[in-house]
Amino acid sequence: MAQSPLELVIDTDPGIDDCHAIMMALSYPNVNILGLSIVTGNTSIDNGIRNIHYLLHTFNRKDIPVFRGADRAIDGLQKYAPHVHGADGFGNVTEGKQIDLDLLSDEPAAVALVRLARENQGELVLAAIGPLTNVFLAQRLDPEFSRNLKYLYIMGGNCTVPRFDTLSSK
Amino acid sequence: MISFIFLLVGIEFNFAADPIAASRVLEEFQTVLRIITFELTCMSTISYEILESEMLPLKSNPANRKARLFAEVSQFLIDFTKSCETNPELYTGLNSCDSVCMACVLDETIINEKKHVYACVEPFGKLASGHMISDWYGHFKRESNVEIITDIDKEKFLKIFRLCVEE
Repeated sequence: MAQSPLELVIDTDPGIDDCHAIMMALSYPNVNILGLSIVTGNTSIDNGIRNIHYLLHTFNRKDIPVFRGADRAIDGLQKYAPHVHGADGFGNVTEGKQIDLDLLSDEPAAVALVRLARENQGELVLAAIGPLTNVFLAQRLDPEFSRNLKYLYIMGGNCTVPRFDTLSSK
Repeated sequence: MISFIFLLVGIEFNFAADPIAASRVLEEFQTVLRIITFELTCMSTISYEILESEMLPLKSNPANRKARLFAEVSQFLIDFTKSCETNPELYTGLNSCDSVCMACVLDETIINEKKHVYACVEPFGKLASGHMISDWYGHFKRESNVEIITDIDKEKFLKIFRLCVEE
């Protein structure tokens, strides 16, 4: 029997390494990408939405919806990383280009995350590769949200490994 | 006995960008929560040699749109990492953090080692907001809430990363 596909949603702040990660997912067999939710992080929400369209157009993937997410963190601040990812978040490649935002849904990202997790209860894998703003908001909208997920993968956090940990080991 | 009672400098961007969200997600989420830390990605960089001799040249094939996209978008990050010559953490090759995470999503078998621990994130403060505290030795007496991935199969990772440029 054929293995059932990986049901995947990627929550992303489309910078350069996000681009790599999404290219990998688009190229990997047996993966069903149900949507890409965009969050502010490496670059602004508007740049992120443009970048993700540029990427999906290159792959000629018109079947993957894009959801607009939070335009700032919960504390109201916007922190970008133009020194790492360029002013546009994509190494300055999309700057000034005419990009048709034809895949952008009207549904806000956190609402879409809640819906997709309900529709794919126990099956949905969420890869959070940006700040966790949208993911947090989804949980606020639906307290069952996290329980509906199969896995939540997070790219994030520093890790001080044992022997060099941050708590006293006396 | 030596005790390590200081905070190391090592706050990662995604948690620092929204420390409150990161803190609440780790505290509240009830699912299998797997964390790919910045340090793991630093141990999984793509060598400049592989990039320059095997991956980037594929852009010259006009039929390979993926390779062209990869090359044009990546150059800025490659130049950035090369400019960090004096930083041993960054100057080992291209660190494509999110790719390491995605490789684990796509093929769980690349995970060589993961540790079940309690971890939390400092939500406030001028100096340490976004800092993750991993309780390796159970000081907090809390049940584990995350799986921190501490080692991956680098060969398998590279194989999946190469998909970025393969037709």
